Order: sequence, then structure tokens, then C-alpha cells
Amino acid sequence: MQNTYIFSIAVLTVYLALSRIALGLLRNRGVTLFALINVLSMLGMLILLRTDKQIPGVLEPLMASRGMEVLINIAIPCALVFIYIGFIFFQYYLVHRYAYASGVSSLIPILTPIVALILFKVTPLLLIGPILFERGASYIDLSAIGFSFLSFRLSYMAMEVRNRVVPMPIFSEFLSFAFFMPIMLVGPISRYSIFRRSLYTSEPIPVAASVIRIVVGLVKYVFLANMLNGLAFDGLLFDGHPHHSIDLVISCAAYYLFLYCNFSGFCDMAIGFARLLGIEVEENFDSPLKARNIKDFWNRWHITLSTFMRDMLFTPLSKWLVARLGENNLSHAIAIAIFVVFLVIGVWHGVGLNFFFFGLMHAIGVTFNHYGNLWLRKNLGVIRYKAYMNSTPIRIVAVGITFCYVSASFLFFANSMDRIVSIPEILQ
Amino acid sequence: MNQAQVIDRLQKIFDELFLDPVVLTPALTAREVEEWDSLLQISIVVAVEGHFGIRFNMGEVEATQNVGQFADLIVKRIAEKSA
Repeated sequence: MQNTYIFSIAVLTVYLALSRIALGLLRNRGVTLFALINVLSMLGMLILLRTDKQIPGVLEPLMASRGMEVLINIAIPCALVFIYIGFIFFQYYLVHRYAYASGVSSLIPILTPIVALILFKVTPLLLIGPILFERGASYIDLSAIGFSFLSFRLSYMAMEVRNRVVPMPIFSEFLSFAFFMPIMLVGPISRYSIFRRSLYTSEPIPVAASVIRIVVGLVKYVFLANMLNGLAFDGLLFDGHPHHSIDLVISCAAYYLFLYCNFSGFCDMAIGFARLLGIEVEENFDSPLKARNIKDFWNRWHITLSTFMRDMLFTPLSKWLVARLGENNLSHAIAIAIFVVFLVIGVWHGVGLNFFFFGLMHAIGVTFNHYGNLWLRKNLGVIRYKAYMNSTPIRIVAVGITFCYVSASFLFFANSMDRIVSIPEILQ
Repeated sequence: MNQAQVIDRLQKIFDELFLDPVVLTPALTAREVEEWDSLLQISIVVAVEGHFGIRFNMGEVEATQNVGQFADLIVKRIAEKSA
């Protein structure tokens, strides 16, 4: 483990130094070099993560044959990396071929990454994969997770190219963005237009502020998250002992806080690290703990995902539904669209019924907010609605309820259905 | 039709949709108006498409940074329609 940390720091330092030289000294010509550095460092990271891998006991009989060992250890991961990189090249071709095409063809480069993601998630290899690599699943899980973010970034990029928000990317720009190492694994789903703008502007780099951002992220990610995880599901409720029912409540709340520190901590590090290169990455969190309802929560939590869903699914679907149902049914069309969006967000996070229920809870929450808000606006009138929105006691109660609801929903995010069903046995 | 004329017409659409009156200027952004969230955005887009008889592509409206750019997009679509 110690070696992994040292190796990571070494890789990151070399990456930072080389990228700074490429982007700082060579300016526009450096983008090609920068692309190359990103591709190589991604491969480096994958090799690094392979060192942790262990072969589970189930496969030991297979290991007797040297051929099988080679196959499982090398061939499968290599094939996955090959598919991964092959897909990125294919997507580059699609953007160039179809982004400016007329009619429905221009949707091809926007939809292909989404289709690829669905195939990648449900393909038998990946369903079997985690079982094969039960204890050393990091490799496959990781590429699958990274792929979720990658496919969304590439899909959004294709849309920006089509809408001429950005010029057609040249090969080096495309590769730099697709493989941009700081946001490769856990996001944010930062937009290409923002990446490109910062790639070609040479504003002074806020070194001190970026380093502070990384340190803050590190404290959240390593220290706070680990501490909170001790009180969450793995550390508390499912430690193999019977528990009082209050521990279920503690575990849910601690898991929410753990996930916030873990995820936003990682994003802080990614944003700070990218800034050291002069590349702007979008913010992904805006104090979600302050959210006063579930709709507000999604404006503050994983913002780049909800923005992506808004632009790519919610808006087109709402418009389509309004065209079918008529403008008088606008609010119902929006409610249906909300439901679909949050169910998709649920299953995007992973394969399993629990993720569906996670999505369902948020779908119900946001739909409730949608109708509730319409009702309040209609019945309170301007002045009283404003007073309601600005009232501190109401805000405090609303924030409390939202925190509880979100914590409860994370029960389904963190645990498989088997585990959730076993909870009554654990509680005394 | 130019940007100012479009904003003038947008003002009327916005007055009907917003509870709290908004004064539209080219530099105004959705972020500055508390009521203007992604749900209300749908109502705006549907109303604008109906009023001007135009269609926006996916992600186009979201890519505009302020009311001025939104109005420019509408101007462009109207010009394309009559061309």
C-alpha cells in the first residue's frame, strides 16, 4: 500500500511537470505533447492499479494451468483497455464524420457514447468480470466507472461541436480532453468548451490557491471520509454484530457525510490539480448539506451530472412530452420527465435493483417538490410565497427534512438488496 | 427582427411566467434570478418556440450565457425560417 502511494505521487509529479512544460513553454504546439502525456499517464495509472490485484480462491484450480493464468491476468485487462482506447478513436471519427451532418445523423456522435456505455455496463464480460476478480475487482470496476464519466463527456462534447459552441476539435485537442487525467476516473463531467477555453488562454496560474484546494480535498478524502466510513454501513451496521435500530439511522447519516467528503474531496483535488496546469474544471458541489429540498439538492450535488441530464434528457424529453400532451399539461409533462431522469440517474450509478430504488426515491422527492412549489405559488400569492421562501425557521426545518430524506435514500445507494433485506435480522 | 425587439417580446413572455417580475437586459443570466431554474426554463423554451414559431436543437438554449445570447439565437432561428 505504501508503495502504491509513493508511486502515485511520483506519477502525478512527473505528469504535472511534463504537462506544465508542454502547455507553458510550447503554447499551442504543446497540445500534441499534452495529449501524448495524458494517454501515457492513463496507461500508467491502469498498470499501477493492476499491482493491487489478487486472484480469488474460486479461480485457483484454473491457475494450475499457466495458460489460464496468463489469460486472466493479462489478456482480459488488455482487451478492456483496447476496447476503451478503440472506442475513443472511433468517437473521434464519428464527430468528424457526422457532427455537422444534417438531420438525425448529427445525433450519431452524441448518442454513440451512451449506447457504448449501456453495452459496456450490461455486457456479459463485465457481469462476470466482478465475480472473476472478486477481490481484485478494482481493475474492471475502475474502467467501468471511468467509462461512465468518459462517455458522458464525449457525448456532451459532440453536442457542443454540433451546436457550434466550439470549433471542430483537432486530434490532439480531442485526445487531451478524452484522456485528461485529473478528471478521468471520478469526474466531474466537465464540458469541452470550458476545457478548450482554458487550454488556449494563458492567465497566471493561482498556484497557492490550487495547492490549498488540493490539501483541503486530501483532508476530506483521506481523513474525514475514512473517519465517517467507520460509522457508516461497512464500519458500523454490517460489522457482523447485532445492533440497536438507532445504528441504522447513524449509518445512513454517516454514509451521506462520508460520500460527500469522499466525492467532493476527490473533486477538490481534481479541480486544484487541473488548475495547476491552467485548465479549468467545473465545480461539482455547492454545499449540498444546505439543500432545502430534493430539487435544490440536485442543484448542489454532483452538479455536472445533473447539468448533463438536464441538457441531454430532461429538456428534450419535456419538450417532446409537451408536444404530445399539449401545453395545458406542461406541469405534468415536466413531472413525467423528472421521473424518467431520476430513474436513469439511479441505474447510471450501477447495476442492481437497489440503484433503481435510489433513483425512485429521488424521482418521488423532486416530483413532490415540483407539484408542491406550483401549489404554494398558486395559493400563497407573491408576497406570502416570498415570505415563505425567506423564512429562516421554515428553511431550518426544510434543510433538516431534506438531510434525513437524502440520508435514507443512500441506504439504497450503498447496499445491495441482499444486504438491505438482511437489516431486520441485524437490528434488535 | 433584431436583438432589442426580441428581448422586448421576451419580456412579455417572462412577465407571464415569473411570479416575481424580472427586468430583462442582454447581460442578465439565469443564475441571477432565483425563480429561474431548469423547470421554469422548460416553460420559457416551450413558450418562446410557440410564440416565434421556431425550434431549438438539443443543448442550444443551455449553451447561451445570458439573455442577449438567447435573443441572438432566436434572431438567427427566425432568419433561417424566413430564408
